[in-house]
Amino acid sequence: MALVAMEQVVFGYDDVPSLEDVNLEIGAGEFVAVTGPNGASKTTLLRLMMGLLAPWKGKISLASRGKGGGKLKIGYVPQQISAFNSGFPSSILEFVRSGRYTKGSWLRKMNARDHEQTELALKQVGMWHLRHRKIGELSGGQKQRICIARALAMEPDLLVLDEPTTGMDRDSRFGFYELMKTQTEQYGRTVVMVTHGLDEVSPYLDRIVELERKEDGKWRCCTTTSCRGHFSPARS
Amino acid sequence: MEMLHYDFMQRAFLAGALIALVASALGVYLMLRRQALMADMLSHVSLAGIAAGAYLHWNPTLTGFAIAIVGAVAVEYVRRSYKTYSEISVAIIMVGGLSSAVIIMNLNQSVNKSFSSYLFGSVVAVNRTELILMLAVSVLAALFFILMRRPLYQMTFDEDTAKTSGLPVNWLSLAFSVVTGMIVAAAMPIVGVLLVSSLVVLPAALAIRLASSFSMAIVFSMAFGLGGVWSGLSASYAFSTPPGATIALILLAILLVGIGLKKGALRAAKRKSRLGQNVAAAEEAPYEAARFSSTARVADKGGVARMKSYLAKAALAALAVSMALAGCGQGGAKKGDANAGTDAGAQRKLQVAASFYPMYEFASQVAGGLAEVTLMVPGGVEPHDWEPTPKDMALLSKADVFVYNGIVESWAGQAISSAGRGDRVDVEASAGFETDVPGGEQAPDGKPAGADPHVWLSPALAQREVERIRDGLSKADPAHAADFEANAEAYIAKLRQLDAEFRTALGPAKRKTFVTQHAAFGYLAREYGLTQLPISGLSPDQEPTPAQMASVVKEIQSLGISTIFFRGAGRPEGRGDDRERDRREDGRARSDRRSDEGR
Repeated sequence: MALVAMEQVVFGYDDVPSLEDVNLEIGAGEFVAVTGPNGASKTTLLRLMMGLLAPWKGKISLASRGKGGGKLKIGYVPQQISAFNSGFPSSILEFVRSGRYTKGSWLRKMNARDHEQTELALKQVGMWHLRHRKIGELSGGQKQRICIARALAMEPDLLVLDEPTTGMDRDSRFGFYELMKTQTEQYGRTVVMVTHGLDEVSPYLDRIVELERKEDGKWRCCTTTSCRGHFSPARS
Repeated sequence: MEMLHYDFMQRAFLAGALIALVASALGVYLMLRRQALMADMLSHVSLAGIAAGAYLHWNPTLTGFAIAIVGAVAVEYVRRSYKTYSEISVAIIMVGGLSSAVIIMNLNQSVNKSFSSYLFGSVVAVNRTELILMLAVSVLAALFFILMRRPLYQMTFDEDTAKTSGLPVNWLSLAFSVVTGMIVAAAMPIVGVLLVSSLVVLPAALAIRLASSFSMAIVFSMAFGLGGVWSGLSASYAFSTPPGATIALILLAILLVGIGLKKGALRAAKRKSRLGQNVAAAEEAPYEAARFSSTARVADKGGVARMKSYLAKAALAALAVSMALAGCGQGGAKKGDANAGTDAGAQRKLQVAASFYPMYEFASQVAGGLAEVTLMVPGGVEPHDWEPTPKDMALLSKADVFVYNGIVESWAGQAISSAGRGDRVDVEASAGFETDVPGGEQAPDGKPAGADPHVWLSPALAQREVERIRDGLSKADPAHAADFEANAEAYIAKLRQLDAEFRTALGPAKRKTFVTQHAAFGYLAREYGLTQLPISGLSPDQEPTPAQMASVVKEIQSLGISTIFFRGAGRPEGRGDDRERDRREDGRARSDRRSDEGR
């Protein structure tokens, strides 16, 4: 059963459709990259997928239940969050721990598992030793990391990341791809990532979903290429 | 602490504390949501609601409340649907609210609460209803902020990721707006428009800069807000300054000093790093995909302990500042006490508080030397623009008799109930006289005028006010009733003589119409068969509409009038016989002019 399914979705802005014929399916536990040239509404596609936008036409369905039996948990790492720049007062630890705030847990005390998962997420992105610093003091790349950590701390069923490797140096990128691969292989989570550098990441991927522009100028989805076994590993 | 012996000060401290805590916490969220102007805007909207309520004879507090909530919800919807217009929507609603409020208040022709009292409120004259409402709203707000603190954190940081984590952001945002509206609407009648904004913005601005965690930001903000309000109240008591403005200035001072200290600390840290000392590298470690064994402690004890110590320090600081300033207040009060009942053992003189100059004059005449009459509104100040300071409230609390005209002292009702004292005699000198609308009052647009309070300017009616005051003084001090009777009789005789002079002078006057700056002489005009043509309405700060101006100018031209009379309210030495002299001079000037022109 597909975790995410989009059927004949149409969407646009100001009455002009920018996405048409969007048909795709993503299965549980897959590591999927979404790609396409700049301006190809990739972010819009992600937002439609997560239910932040309602399509003009077509159907979008998300699995209603997550792995633990509870509601499907989505960890979203957007491209930029402006709140970082406006002096939001918070320590990194507090910030990542907020990933654990789910609807059922608003009032109960933070338990051992919460702290454990927070610590794990922070260590996985290499920010544990800086956990008491204010988030406003961080560099751009570090801000990215803690956003990823916050999504990880949630123990998400679906991880959605929008160009997470922008500005990352080479070693960090590969470390990141490894981390994402672990998410799917060890934890059975689904990872959907908008990215550009396909050559680097395709050895890790299960599938590539590509947006292409048709003759009439609108973006269509999606050439879906399966990656398993089709590329030779290009790891360093 | 002498200051806190007074009922009204206790209420002020309690109301102030509630508002400070709730508004400062709210402020942190509003600042981070980039909605700093929200409180200001909602206060103005609430003002329109209150004005509408008064005009429609509904409960103004409730209408103000309802409109503030509607305004908050409206802004929320605009913000959601038209992201580009969200800042403009605040300006639109604020201008709309304030202008509507002024126009609606103008429709109420009677002399009502002055505008400036809405700016800074009357925290030393909180009545029970306002206090109970504020208490209820505070409890509700506290429940909301405590129970919803985690989702509020997520939503305040970023709404999109909050939504995808399963948070019902739309509902929460709406609830937040409603709570904001309620807090502002409940606080505004107590502390006024400007102070509500100050409490929402200033403590939060400093707290956000200083705090290293979100919870600490809220705690700091509440500490600064509470410290500011209590210090402000204490300072206002000590130095006899208007409480609202004093609090606002202290909050501002706290912000500026805090920012200065923080800058200083940063500079010191930079100096240290330049010397190569002690700067931990802020470099991240590599991504690590391996699964770690859990070394986590059950709770991050360090952070919690740190926060608790900050909380304690902040509370102590707030308390210390308040006590220091209250100590000043005590010194000041002692001086005042020494002036009051001086002779130990000798009979204490009757203490009379009089609202503004005419009341002071009447009361002093009736009392002779047998009472200590104190003037509350200083000469040269419009009585209904004036706001009592804590010292004035203290005076009122200790007075045996309070003499006021009624209506013109917009603060009197609140002050009387707040400075509650069972055995004080409150004399509303003009009660019952002003219910009929004097025929002299011109309302060119035929709108019904409200009750005219200018009873003391008519020699005939003034006599009845003096009688009322005599009765009040006698009730409070029966032993001297005979003396008061005699003094009153003597003064009334003078007034009768003045009345006779007016009649003889004005009787033969050919022109019966006179122009005044505002409709102060309605009763006098009616008494002597004259026609008053006022430029403004019953209150000197009611601006004439263009139509009213045009009509007055037309009358003046058609009648050939060349003199406009205005009350010298701006005289610095408004004591002594000036008032009587003014009245006599006005009368003589009129009669002189008329006899000269002989028309």
